[in-house]
Amino acid sequence: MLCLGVETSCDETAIALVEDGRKIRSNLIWSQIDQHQKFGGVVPELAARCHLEVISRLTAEALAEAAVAPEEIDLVAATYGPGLIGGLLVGLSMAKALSLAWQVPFVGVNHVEGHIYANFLAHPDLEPPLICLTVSGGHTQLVMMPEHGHYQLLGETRDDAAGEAFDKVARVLGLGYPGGPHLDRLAQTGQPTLTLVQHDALAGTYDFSFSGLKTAVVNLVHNLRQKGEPVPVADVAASFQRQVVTILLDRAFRALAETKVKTLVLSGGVAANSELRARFAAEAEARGIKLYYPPLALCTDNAAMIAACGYFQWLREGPSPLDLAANPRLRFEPPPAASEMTS
Amino acid sequence: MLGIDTSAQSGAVGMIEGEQVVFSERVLIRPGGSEQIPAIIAAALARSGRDVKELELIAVGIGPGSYTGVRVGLAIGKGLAFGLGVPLVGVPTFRALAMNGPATARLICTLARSRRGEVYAGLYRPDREGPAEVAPPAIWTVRELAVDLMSRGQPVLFLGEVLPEVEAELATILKEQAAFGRGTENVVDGAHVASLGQSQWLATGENQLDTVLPLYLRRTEAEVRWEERSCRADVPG
Ligand SMILES: [Zn+2]
Repeated sequence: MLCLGVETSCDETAIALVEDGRKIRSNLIWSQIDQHQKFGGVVPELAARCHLEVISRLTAEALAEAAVAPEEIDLVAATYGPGLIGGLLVGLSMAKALSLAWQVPFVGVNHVEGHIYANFLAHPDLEPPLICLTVSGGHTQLVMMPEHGHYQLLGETRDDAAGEAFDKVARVLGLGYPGGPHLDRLAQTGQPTLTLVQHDALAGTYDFSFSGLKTAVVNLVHNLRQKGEPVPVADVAASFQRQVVTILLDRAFRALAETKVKTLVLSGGVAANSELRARFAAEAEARGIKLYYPPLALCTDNAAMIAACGYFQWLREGPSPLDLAANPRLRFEPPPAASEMTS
Repeated sequence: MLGIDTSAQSGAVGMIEGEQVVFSERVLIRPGGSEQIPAIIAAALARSGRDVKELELIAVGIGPGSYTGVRVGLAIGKGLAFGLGVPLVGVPTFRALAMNGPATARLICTLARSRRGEVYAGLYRPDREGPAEVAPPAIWTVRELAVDLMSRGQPVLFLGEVLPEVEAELATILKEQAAFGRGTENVVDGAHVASLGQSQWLATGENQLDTVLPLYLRRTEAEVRWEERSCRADVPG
């Protein structure tokens, strides 16, 4: 069973071919980073324009690279949310038209669910139940997956996504875009000695907040510059990164302890952060938790994860309706309130 | 031949075979998206007893109009054309819209919504060969457009979906020189898009699968702001 995956929810146009939900035949990503760099962030209208310009060529290349003829494709899967509406509509519309032309089923995939499935692509032995922490420029979510196709949102960010905060802090420190990798490298040369915020306002919950931390960095840097004092950029980067990872670590391992789940998977671009990987690995080792994360190419947005997720979804639930609407704010449902659970 | 246009509030799909119209449907597009179009095409094909594999050419309106809307139409066109291995051509939406006007009209002014106080407008003269372009699609303030048309001194038929206040302002300035299309006259006909696409394909033989672009008459806000910032930065002092 060969599935074509289409992903256009942010600033990456991606097309992939995946066999039986596990074997990647081709996985092409056209990054728009150059287009958005000078603006310091993703410009939605520009992203949508770029997606449309490259998508048909990229699809042809993905088939060529996998040496696949159109007649061999059995299923078309595309992200229908969450993400930027203009981009989502380009990929979703093309995918539906392909399914119509080829007379094969179409499935709409939740992008964040796709991120979880990047781990199933990379680790054949991985099985639920598991807890997944997805951290990227667009999402910060802690999700419990008791079995395939079932998700319970435990917590999410109340303001900025972790990756978004990384980008903004990197910009204030005068680093390049996207900020995550730059900040990661700089932090390795500094000391995490600065206390940016006194306490974790959402301690005890599974939710995240990074805007206070980000504002603290902005204020600190502005104050120092106003006084004409040098900004210890490496120490600021290290301190900021230390606190972000501490919050992520707290939520994830508390959820593991409380649910008694023994498997943790990481996904999203921030899962490539070196401090995050090191501290999560140490903590997992200490607590007897199995920790998985995908290789870098499958951490960030890609279409192989959409094809894999779409395949398993099709096995369980069959095709999606051809008039499925894009949903920029698509999310997993939080657990029902206690009163609803008993009814 | 299949024609698609999703540049305005109402979308259109139509199929022709030679001179014959197989189907032509106009659909009100739900605000925020036109993702029902593939399902509508599938249903229309089924109702007419046609198979998608019979399609030999896909034509899509490139606007002007809603950028998101036009992109959806083109993405659907790209998927169909790539999937079926047939050519894709982009056709000017206003030319298709002008085909809704009667041959007796002196001038046809096609309109589409733009930002507040502005419209996209194009000017056409009916001709045996189809509408001839008098002025290409451009962004106008409603007042400037009315003044320009007044100076031409000919009766004008306005076609297209615009806000009532735009129609009112044009009527106030142009008085009896202005007439307005009614109902479906203001919505592109998918069969017209298909037939324009057919002529264009016969004339150029150019498959625009990878090259077709929406008619972007405006740069993105971010680009404009960035350029303003860089210009200011260039000024010394
Ligand atoms: Zn993502």
